[in-house]
Amino acid sequence: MTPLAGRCALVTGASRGIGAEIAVSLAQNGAAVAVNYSGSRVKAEEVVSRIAHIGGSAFAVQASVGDAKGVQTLFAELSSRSFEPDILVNNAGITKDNLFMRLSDEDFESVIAVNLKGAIFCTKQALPNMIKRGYGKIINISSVVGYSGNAGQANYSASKGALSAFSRSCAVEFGAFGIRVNTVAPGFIETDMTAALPEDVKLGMLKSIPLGRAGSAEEVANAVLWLASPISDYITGQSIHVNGGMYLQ
Amino acid sequence: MNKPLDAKTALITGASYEVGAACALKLAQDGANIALAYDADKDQVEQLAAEIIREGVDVKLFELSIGESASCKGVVDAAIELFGGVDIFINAQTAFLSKPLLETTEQEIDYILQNNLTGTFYLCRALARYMMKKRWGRIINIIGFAAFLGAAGETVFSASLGGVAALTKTLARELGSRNITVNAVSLGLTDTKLIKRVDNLLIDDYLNCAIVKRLGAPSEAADIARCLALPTSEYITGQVVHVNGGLYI
Repeated sequence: MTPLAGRCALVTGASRGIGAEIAVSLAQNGAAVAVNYSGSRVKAEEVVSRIAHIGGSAFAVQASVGDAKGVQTLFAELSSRSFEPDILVNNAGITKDNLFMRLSDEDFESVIAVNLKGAIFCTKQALPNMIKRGYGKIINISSVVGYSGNAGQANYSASKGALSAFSRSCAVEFGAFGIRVNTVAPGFIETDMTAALPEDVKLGMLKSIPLGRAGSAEEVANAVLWLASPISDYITGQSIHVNGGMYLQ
Repeated sequence: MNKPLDAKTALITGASYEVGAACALKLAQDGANIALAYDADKDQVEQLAAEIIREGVDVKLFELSIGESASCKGVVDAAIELFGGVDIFINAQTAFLSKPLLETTEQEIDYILQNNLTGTFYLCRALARYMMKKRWGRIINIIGFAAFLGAAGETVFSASLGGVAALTKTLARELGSRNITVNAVSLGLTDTKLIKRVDNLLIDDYLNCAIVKRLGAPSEAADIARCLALPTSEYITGQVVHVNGGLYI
């Protein structure tokens, strides 16, 4: 089954973790995938190889999404390859966790730049072609903490709450053009990002999850795949929580 | 007769706008000294100050560039110095932008996010330092329905407010042990100068969807903000209270 055959997907921050699994999953289902990375070229090439190995089509492309010019260059490069994304997954994200009182201006601003402005810049660049085609799927990867708040993550939770709200307004603004905009909000997922958490924090989190375990990046990718596929064409402006029951809407 | 906020001081931003002004008056009537921060219309803020003085409390004016870290810290420090502390913070200053996303410039994105989201971070951080030492505080962020309902033409604006909602929840979690409550009041269509910039037909569309089919009064929003500022509200924290006539449920 290749529900995404003929589709082009750009996944930002796809060199590892959740982004990498999303890229593989979309490619496995027929989409050609642009694997965006910021610094880890080798990792991004590994994802491209993984995809080639399962008979999919992908290439790696560098850009720091928090920089508007970088995003412009990224889309110019995609365009030169005649690669016009019909699926955009705004996944690139960074954390700079600290107690609220200890967050510097830079800690706050840099997280907003990548996690929120990066998604805004990419969405702006991807929209014209989606509008021309009258079809598009934009999937923003938020986080449970954008809904629940989380001590030590004032910057990250603000960026993710903002991204979810951005997503809702985009769904309203671009629905008439056939563009679906949704949010996937992962809970506690086993990735490099969460591996860095102290053991006691991890144990505390597990206690708050009814299913009693962390999720996998692949389980997040499954939700993204569904939202990217035509079978979810009547879904827009929604948040899909992949969190084992950790936070209930 | 004792008033519930006697000997307390409230810092209120957006004093030249209707909701901020209404909050300032309500808190003054409850006995709080008032620090008015404004970014425009000084004459109007001086008139408000004259009204506030008649309530028998102390009032001072502070010019604030909310998007600048140093200005935020400067105003907070000056208010603490002049009044001997700040116990209540109502952040009612919001920059509005209604514009299709594709026409929105990078400068406009920066301006809206910096003023509404990052500025809130700067101010809360500066105030929380003091409130934590004092082991008492009330922080109330005024946001709007666009963050939850989504709104065409308000993608970036709604993102900034969604970010403040998430920031509110994180701060509630981090500051709760020091008796500091952090909440948000989310406005619906409110009868202000700002609403006059919105198309009448669009307002009719919104009112058709609302349960109470009229604009809200700034004083109705201020009533809820006032309630959250009272010492008796210490069991309410991390909440978004929607004052919108049932526009969003």
